[in-house]
Amino acid sequence: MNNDIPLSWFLIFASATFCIGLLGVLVRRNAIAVLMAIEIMLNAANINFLAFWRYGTPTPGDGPITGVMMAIFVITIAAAEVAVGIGLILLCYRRWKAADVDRYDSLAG
Amino acid sequence: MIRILFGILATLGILTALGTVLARNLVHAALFLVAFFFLVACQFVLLEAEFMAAMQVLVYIGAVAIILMFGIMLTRNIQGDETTGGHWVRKLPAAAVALGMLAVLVAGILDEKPLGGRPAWSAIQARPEAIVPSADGPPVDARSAAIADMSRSVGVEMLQRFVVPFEIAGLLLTAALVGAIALAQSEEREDSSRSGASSDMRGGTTMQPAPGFGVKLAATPNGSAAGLSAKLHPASDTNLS
Repeated sequence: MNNDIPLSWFLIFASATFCIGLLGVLVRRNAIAVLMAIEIMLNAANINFLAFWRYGTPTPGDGPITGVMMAIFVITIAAAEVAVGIGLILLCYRRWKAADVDRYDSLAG
Repeated sequence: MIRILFGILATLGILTALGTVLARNLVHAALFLVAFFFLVACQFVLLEAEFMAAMQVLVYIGAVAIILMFGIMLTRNIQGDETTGGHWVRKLPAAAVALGMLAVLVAGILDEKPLGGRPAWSAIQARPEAIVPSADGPPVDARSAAIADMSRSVGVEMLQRFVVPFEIAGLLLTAALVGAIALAQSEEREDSSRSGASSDMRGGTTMQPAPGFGVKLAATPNGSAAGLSAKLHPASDTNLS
C-alpha cells in the first residue's frame, strides 16, 4: 500500500480541529456555543486515539483494540458531560435570564 | 486516491468546524456541528473503525446534537444581542492563542523523534497491513481479527479486560442522569415557592400558608375548598416537625 494516508495527516487534521475548538471556547460568549466547541475538541482527541491505534504497533498484553476502547469511553463521558452541561446552562438561564458566560458574575467581587 | 478522499474530507471537516465556531446563528452552528460529526465519522471509516463511525453517528448526531438543539430552543437566545457580540479586536488574542497552539502542535508532530525502536510519526507513511481472516488463509494477528469483527471484539474486551472502566462509566452515566434531574427539580420547587403557594416548604420560615392563599380558599363558596385548606394545615405541621 504505497499511497496510504500518512499518520501525520490525521494528526495535523486533529490538531487543526482541536485549535478551532479552542478558538470557539475562547471567542464565543454563549454557553451552548462553548459546549459545542468543547465537543469539537473531544472529537479531535478521538481521531488521535484511533489514528494511533491503527498506525502504531500494539504493546503485547494490552489487547487488540485499546485505542478504540479509549475512544468509546471518551464518547461516553462526552454524552454525560453534555447532559449535565445543558442542565446547568438551563438553570443559569432561568436565574440570570441570559445564556452568556460573562453574565454569570455573582461570584465576581 | 484515498489521499484525495482524505483531503476532501479533512477540508470539509475543518470548514464545518469553523462554521460551528463562527456562525452567528446558533441553529446554524448546531447544523454545522452535525455535519462536522458526520465528517469525523467518515474519518473513522478511513481509519478502518466502522463500529466507531456508527457509534459516532448514533451518540453524537443522535443524542448530543439533539440535546444541544433543545438547549438552544429552551434558552431562546438564537441570534442577535449577546450571542456573538463584541468587537472583532476583542477576538484577536483568542485567535492568536489558537494559532500559536496550532503552530506548536504541528511543529511537535512533524519534529517528533523516533523512540524505543518505533519510527518517528512523520516517517510513518502507511498503516500496518490488516489481513482479512479466512477459513483457509494464513493465521492473522489479533488486530486484524479485531478490525474484521469489530463489534464482537469490542463486546469481548468490554466485559473482560475493561470491565471495571465499563462499570464506572455506567455509574457515571447514572450519576449524570440523577444530577440532571436534581438540578431541574430543585429549580421547580423554587419556582413554586416564588409564586407563594407553598412557601412553607423552604426551611419552614413561614408556618401557615400564605394569607392570600387562605383568603382565596375561604372566599370559595363550596365545601371542598374548606376541606382542602383543612388538609393543608396538617401537611404544613408535619413538614415543620
